[in-house]
Amino acid sequence: MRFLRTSSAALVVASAWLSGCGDRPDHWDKTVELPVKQLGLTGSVAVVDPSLDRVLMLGVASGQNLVSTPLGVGKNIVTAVASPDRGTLFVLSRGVQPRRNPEDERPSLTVIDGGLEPKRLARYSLTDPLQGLAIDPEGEWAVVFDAGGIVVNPNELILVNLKDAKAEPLSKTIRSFGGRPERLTFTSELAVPNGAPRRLLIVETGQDVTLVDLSAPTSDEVTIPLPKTPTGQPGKPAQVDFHDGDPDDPTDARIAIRLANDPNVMLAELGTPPSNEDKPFRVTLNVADVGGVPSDIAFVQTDGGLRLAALVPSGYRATLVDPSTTVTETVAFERPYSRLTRVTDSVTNKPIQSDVALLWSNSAVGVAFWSLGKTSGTPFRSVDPYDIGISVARVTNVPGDKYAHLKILESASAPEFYILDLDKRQSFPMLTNASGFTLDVSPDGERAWALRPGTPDFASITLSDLHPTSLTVERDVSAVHELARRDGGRAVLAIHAVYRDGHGALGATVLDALAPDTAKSRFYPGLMFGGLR
Amino acid sequence: MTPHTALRPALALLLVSAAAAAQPEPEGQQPPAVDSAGDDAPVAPPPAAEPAPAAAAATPVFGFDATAYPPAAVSDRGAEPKPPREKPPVPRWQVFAGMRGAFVDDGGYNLFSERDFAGQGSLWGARTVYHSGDVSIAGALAFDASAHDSTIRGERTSLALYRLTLGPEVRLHFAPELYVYARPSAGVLRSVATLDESTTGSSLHSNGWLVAIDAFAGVAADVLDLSGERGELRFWVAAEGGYGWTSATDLRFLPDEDDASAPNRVAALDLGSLAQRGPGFRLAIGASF
Amino acid sequence: MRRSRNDARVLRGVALVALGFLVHCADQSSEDSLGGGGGGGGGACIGPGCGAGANSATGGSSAGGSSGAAGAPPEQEIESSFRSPVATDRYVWTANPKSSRVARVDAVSFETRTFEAGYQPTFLVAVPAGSTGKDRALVINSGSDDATLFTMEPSSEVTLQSAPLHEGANSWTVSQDGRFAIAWSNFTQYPHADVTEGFQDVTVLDMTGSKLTSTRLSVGYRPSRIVIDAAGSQAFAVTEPGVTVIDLATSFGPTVSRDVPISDDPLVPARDVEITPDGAFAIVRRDGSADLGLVSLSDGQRVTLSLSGPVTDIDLTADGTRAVAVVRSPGSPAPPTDGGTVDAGADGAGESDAESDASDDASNDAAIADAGPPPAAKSSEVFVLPIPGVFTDPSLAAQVSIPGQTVGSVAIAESGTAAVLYTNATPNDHVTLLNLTPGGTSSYRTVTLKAPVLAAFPAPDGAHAIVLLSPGTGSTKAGAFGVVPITANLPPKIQGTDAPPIAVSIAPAPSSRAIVTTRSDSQKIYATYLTRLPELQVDRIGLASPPLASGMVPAASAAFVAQEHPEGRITFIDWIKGDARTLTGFELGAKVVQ
Repeated sequence: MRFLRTSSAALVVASAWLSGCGDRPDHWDKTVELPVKQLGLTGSVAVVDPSLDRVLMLGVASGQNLVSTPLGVGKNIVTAVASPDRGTLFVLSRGVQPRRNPEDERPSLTVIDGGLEPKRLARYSLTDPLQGLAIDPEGEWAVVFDAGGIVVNPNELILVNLKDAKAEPLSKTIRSFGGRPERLTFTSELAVPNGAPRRLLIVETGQDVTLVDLSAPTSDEVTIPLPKTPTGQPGKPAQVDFHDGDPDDPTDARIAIRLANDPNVMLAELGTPPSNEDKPFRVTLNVADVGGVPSDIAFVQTDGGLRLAALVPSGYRATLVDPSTTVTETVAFERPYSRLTRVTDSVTNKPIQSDVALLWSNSAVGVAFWSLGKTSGTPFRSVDPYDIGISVARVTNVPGDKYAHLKILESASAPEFYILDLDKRQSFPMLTNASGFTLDVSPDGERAWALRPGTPDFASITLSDLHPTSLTVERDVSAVHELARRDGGRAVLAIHAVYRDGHGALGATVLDALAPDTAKSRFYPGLMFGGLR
Repeated sequence: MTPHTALRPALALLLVSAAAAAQPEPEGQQPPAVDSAGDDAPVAPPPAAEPAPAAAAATPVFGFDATAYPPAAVSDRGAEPKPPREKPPVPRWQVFAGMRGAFVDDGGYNLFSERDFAGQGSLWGARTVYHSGDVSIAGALAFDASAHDSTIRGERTSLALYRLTLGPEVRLHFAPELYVYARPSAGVLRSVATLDESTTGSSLHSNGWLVAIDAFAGVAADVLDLSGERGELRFWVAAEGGYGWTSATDLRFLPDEDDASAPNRVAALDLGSLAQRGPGFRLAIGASF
Repeated sequence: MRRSRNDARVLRGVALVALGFLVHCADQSSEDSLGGGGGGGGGACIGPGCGAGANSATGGSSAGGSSGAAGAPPEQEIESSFRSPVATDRYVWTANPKSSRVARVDAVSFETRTFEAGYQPTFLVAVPAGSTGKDRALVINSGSDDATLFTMEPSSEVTLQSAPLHEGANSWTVSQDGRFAIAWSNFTQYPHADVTEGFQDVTVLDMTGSKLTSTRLSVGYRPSRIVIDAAGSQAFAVTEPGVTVIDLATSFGPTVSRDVPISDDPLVPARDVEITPDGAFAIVRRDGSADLGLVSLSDGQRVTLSLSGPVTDIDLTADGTRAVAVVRSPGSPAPPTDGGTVDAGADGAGESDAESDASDDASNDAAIADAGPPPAAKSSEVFVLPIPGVFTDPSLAAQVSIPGQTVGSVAIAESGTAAVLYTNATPNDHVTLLNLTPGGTSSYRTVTLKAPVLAAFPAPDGAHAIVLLSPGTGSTKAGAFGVVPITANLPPKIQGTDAPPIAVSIAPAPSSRAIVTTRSDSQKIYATYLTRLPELQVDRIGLASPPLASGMVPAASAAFVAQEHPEGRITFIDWIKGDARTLTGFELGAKVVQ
């Protein structure tokens, strides 16, 4: 009896001891936190998996066959951003912080090809853990900023030359008068009086604006202070715009700065530097009062020349500022339009000299076309309002050239959206069964996808004939992404995100994008297990 | 899955066996006479193997060949004490219950366990079929079973393994109470894997049949002999170690076909393959009779 | 109008500036000195009803007018103030009292630099380079009662020097050689000053040495004007009792040497006192009096010349050798004089019987007053008076009768070759152009401008004049001006404006450009008109905010218009191309780190 007891006890002890042997890889213990960030790219959908320091690139090979390609990125993902053309993904990682050992990973920026064959294109090692990432629309630069380490230099920028995978990132600390970078804008090429045309990086901080010459990032930057508001508070930039001016004049490139809560707009001209200075330009400032706090600004071409248009919804008007003289002209509107989009390049019959702009507002019903030609000595032609019955919260462009003349107008609250034909000046309502739809346009510009997140319902709208196809899948959808298929077709992924028992899970329904049919769809569960063994 | 969970079936079996063995003998069922010198007295070695007299075969008790053992004389009061019963050189029937532990460094197994250790309850029985000198051969049939559960990225998983192997056990007896053995065996392993997947809202399953091959060697020792007139009953402790191998089965999880709650046309969730390969051991307590 | 001599002191030929209407209507005494002066002008009042004392003659100060004919409204005065930017060479200097900074804007490159002056820099003046050859500007820091001198060194650096001033200084007079500057207090900027406030303190700054020195002195009660002679040796403060003479370059430093009475009755303040550029004489005119007094400032001797009627205006040529006196209503009764009188001769054609009947009879005055304003006198007379000879030999006076025309004011071109005669006491759309060419016959011609004349500004070269007009009855325009060829017998160019003109600036000789700036706060219309001479072409240039002052920057071939803006705003107009370029936010621009 005693023996049995002893033997049993021995067995238990042995088992307990043995059970401590060996561990499975810890990736199985990493739960999925919602929301899971997904980015639709041209040939794949990137699903960011911060727990495992990787990105899952979901592609479709043929039919509805989903292929998952996991790509490791740096430890501790901070943010992931797609390039504007949706062909590339940029993932910023903090690395191991704080670093205790030489082998602890440094911060890094990983560049991933978002096409049909996703792969890592480059990985740039950085020196400091930063949190912000701005991507150049022209694909030349990525700028990392917004420090988040223990001891921070908030004005440090790290410029990564995306054209050279081997180039070392360049660290640059911009002049600071107490602000820190909040928003970065890359200009197109601007002619300067002294030197070749170049691109600038406009850095908006909390109280000034800095210009960094991207052709010579190590050279001194230009810091532009902002005027105090009428109430005496430090000025804060709210928006910038830029224009190269007359193509034949290298001295009239300008940058406009809209100030928060301030009726003034600033114009910075890149003029001729003094002869004893070897600088490409010298900034000359001008301030114009547009008669009310503007909500949006844009350089526009009128028959009277270049103007800065500033929308002042409180006054039901726009103010056109001559950048040379700061003389203003006012254009009255029937409605308090607050946003302006230049659509000149989107219309088929482009005006020769002057711009056409689309006016809209989240708080006013309808849109308007504003033709900035000249008649009777006034630099504007006409404002044609269109009552479409909804207030517009967002205007989505259609990529590509085929349907560039179409714009999708979304409302924040109405259960409908509009497709606006700029050429025919016609608007087509698309009614939905409930509000809360989001819209996205396929990268090839042929279709739009409307989704009510959190429901299994979504729809495809073919832009050629505006034919909608309603679809209902078997699980609630959080996002819809259309992508190219490796066999040449196109597929759409409806992503299902579920949160249960303190963890998240991701699945997808794959359909054919060109002829979507839920009877031929395929459901893929457990996407976040992809690539794990 | 915790070690304790894996061991539960084995422990239960063990305890039941131990409890059964520890039960006082019911009246009238006297164990065979044992060496009156006590448990610690050396046991007389079994007589040399001689051809058993062709005596009328006594009624086998406990399945032993009673001809090998002279029938106990009927004793009456005042009769001379009977000579001590000789221990049979090799156990005839044996049943063991214990635990099997395996070190499984398999990716598929990681889905169901945080550790690379698989504990199973083990039950095997052997029947000596050949005895010559110090060597005997028994046929052994082993059954190992275990259940494991874990979570992968928060999703619950479970795995049930049922292994049945059969093979010869070759023994080398140093004494009736002690022998070493080797037991190669082969059989099948049934794996039943389940994943409670959240996006489908269903349980996904991946079942398989695997070929199982074990090669174990160990030692068994008689630790308690309760043999008596009614037959042999000896308790053993066995410890063996070896290597277990199975073929691999794909872990492709799908919902049950009759699961109406699952979406239609669910693609299999491929999580690799499962194979139980690796060194292992058994610890068991058994009885022979 | 008394201005031509002062305007002639404009540094480097920067055009005369007439500014308007924001600040108080200051009188002639706040104008630049004989010798110095910069280009910018300040605000002053144009038009009836602005400023203090517009309809009355008070102690030598107000923008009053003659009142020779009972009930006749006075002529209007136009003055400048020192709150405006000033120009030196190619730079425009502007002061910001709020930030205590002075900005210097390069009119060619628009580069802006700011400098910290004293507390609340307010009143700027350009200082002639003189023997130093350096561009300089002076500012009165109202908050700290001191002055800061900005000197541009050959290395393009700007050095600053400060000197204390008396409290309350708000005006400058600078010598022609740039050696001395006098800060004084123009009492008209304090309309509610107590009668015991004499504003008698002046501070003389000596800018010759390496260190800027200041000397505080005291002059007579309420100086209305201070001038420095062409030699820069003496300064003359025109005060109520007389003229205080300051010797500037004594071995003890500037000192007050004497006070010269300018009339027998010191209690009766004079209306106008003109001092010759050499500082030898003062010519005194009094409202309603036909007498002109000539006072020797060296020994105080006084001589009186009686003209044909109350002298309504007098002006001196730039060289001080001639004076032109205007008698709007010849033959009107005048108070007795104490000296020889000039036989005004025939009263000229068109003398009004109404005016000849005007007498001391109060009832008659009342009857005339009750009957409304009297009809304008006809055939005013103008006297060209050689100075000082006419006071010893009255026959030297050349009397010019202008038949059928009423003139009450005169403006002489800096060249001294022409004078523009007009009246703004009553609506009159005529101006008469008088030839003053030495050896000439004082010929004249009259032009019609279709709208009542407010003021006239001859160009320094005497070839043209800009005449500000008041829109007449039936006009839909808010204002107008005329560009009048003087030397060429050509019709004037009349330009209506959508806002009233407030300032005129004309380029120095040869005067090929002028700008007329308009402002209407009610309509929020602000513009400047670039006028090309002699083409008589006018181009309108809109302004973004209310204009304050204008001026010329000859070295940059540009004009500038300073405007109201919290961050400071100036529009530069290129003479050649006619392009306008506005700069806003000087201090911001100076803070750009490049």
